[in-house]
Amino acid sequence: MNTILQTKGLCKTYIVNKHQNNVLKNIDLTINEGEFVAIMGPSGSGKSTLLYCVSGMDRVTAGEVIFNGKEIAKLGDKELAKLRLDEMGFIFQQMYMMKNLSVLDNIILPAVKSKKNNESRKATEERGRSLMRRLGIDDVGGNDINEVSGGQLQRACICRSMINNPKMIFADEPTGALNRSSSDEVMNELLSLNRDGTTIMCVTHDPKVAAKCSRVLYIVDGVIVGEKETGHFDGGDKELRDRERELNNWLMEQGW
Amino acid sequence: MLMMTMMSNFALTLKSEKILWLFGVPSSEAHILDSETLGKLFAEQDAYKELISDTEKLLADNGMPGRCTITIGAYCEAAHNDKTAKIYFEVTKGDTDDTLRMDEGCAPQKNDEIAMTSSALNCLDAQIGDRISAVIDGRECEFIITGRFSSFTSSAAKLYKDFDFGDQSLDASMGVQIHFDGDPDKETINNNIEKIKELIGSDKVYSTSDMIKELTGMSDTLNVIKQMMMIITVIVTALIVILMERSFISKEKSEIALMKAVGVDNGSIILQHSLRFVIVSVIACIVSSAVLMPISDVMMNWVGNMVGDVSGLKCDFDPLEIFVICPAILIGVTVIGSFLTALYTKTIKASDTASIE
Repeated sequence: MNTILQTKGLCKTYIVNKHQNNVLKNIDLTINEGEFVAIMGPSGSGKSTLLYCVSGMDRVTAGEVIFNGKEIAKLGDKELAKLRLDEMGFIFQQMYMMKNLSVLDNIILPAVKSKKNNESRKATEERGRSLMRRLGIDDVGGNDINEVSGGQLQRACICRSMINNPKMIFADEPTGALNRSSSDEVMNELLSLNRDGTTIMCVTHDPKVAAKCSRVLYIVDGVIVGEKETGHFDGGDKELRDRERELNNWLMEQGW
Repeated sequence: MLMMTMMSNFALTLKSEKILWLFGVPSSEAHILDSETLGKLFAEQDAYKELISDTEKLLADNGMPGRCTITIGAYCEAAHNDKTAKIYFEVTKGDTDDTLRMDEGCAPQKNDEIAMTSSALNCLDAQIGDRISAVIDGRECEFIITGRFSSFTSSAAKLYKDFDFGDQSLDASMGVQIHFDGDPDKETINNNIEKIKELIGSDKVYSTSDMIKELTGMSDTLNVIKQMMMIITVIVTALIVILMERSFISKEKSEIALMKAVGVDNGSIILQHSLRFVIVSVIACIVSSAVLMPISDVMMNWVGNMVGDVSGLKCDFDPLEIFVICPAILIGVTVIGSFLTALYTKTIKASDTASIE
């Protein structure tokens, strides 16, 4: 399997009121194509910071981050933005969308902004609608973002993350603001994307979410203290219950 | 921008040859307003005839042939039915092809015909077609009102050119107007004016626009006001743009962070933020340019009516200043202000999506 993301000695330090805060300490991490990796840990452990650093949304203080063969730290702001636009997809907990755009326009925004996309606006919209049909939200394309449910909005975010056919999707607590049934729907969509070959890195607090991932990394105080291979989840309630139980036991051993 | 360009229009109009007709004088290129030269008009009878012929001879002898006119006037008691009022009766003496510009009716064609301004008509409660009487040179004269005209002199009446004032003492004159033969160009006119100044030994010889500027005394002041308005416009525009853009950035922080997270580069975001202001300023310039001339005309006529009896006045304007310079200043300030302020979006990072509520 090809490595899509690798970090070597990744460090991130914040200086707040002249105090140095080492949020990430020498993180070595490898993610291969097709994996669905969950990052878990207590609050303030550096999960989201790790996500932002490896996706280029934040600059690392030290170490290397190699994404799809490119050393992110060496890229300028413009090149980094282009990398995020063309090769990465993002899903946030709070389902951030542009208020003045419709759901469909939000979804196709990355495609419209991408210079590698030479197709017409109409073709881009059709691609957006196709993704919406796949995720079961094709009837809300023209709606304002305030007119759709949380689950629909998060699925729209998934569509947006997929519109440029990214190499990897970064999801920060994608189900954090959703109820149980919407969470299950969103996770099922992510699993479906993963089965189709999309690599996903997901930060989560929820063991039910992590149980569906193929690998779980446990981070405490900026250090990865544990790693568990859970293999691909094929679906099925019994398998899910078994995976959850096994994961919970493992997490308790890690100090969860 | 509207204030700026209106001031520009007013300043230009108040030194424009286009408003010469409001002073009750025919089209001419040069004007002698020397009090020593004109003093004879008020002291001697029919002195205007001598003044006209002497001036024409002076011009002819010095290689500047032309025709001269003099507009003279006096306040006389006029009556219509039981209404009486003091009206300024004026007449233009000398050789001219000009006819009086009328707002309504026609110019007087005979000695017993007059045209009057609106306020003069109102004073006497008269209208076109009515007969009025006036005491001029001690004799009662009857006139028929043939039309209405505009003038900077309120309550004025225009007599036919052949009307004789007799011994009536004059109250005012607009000086000697000179219309050079052969339609000389501006440079020749200016040279002629300099020559006339030397010949009569007085500086009070003006071109039409200088004379108007001298008489209205407002053009330079309005120019200064216009320049001040430009400075104020620049400052106010810059302040508004900067404050509004900062407000937008603050309000849209989450959206900016999201766009950066998704991969939109700084340049696109700055361009988008600047463009909205530029579009508004372009629209404002277009609207301002579209309404400028009608509003300027209305305002100028309104101001003219405070001074005299004016209607149908069209403002003069400088197309370069109105349609190029002023919009360029406004749009330029907007572009620079919005662009520099939009640079602040660079401080918002993609990772700020984590801290947005």
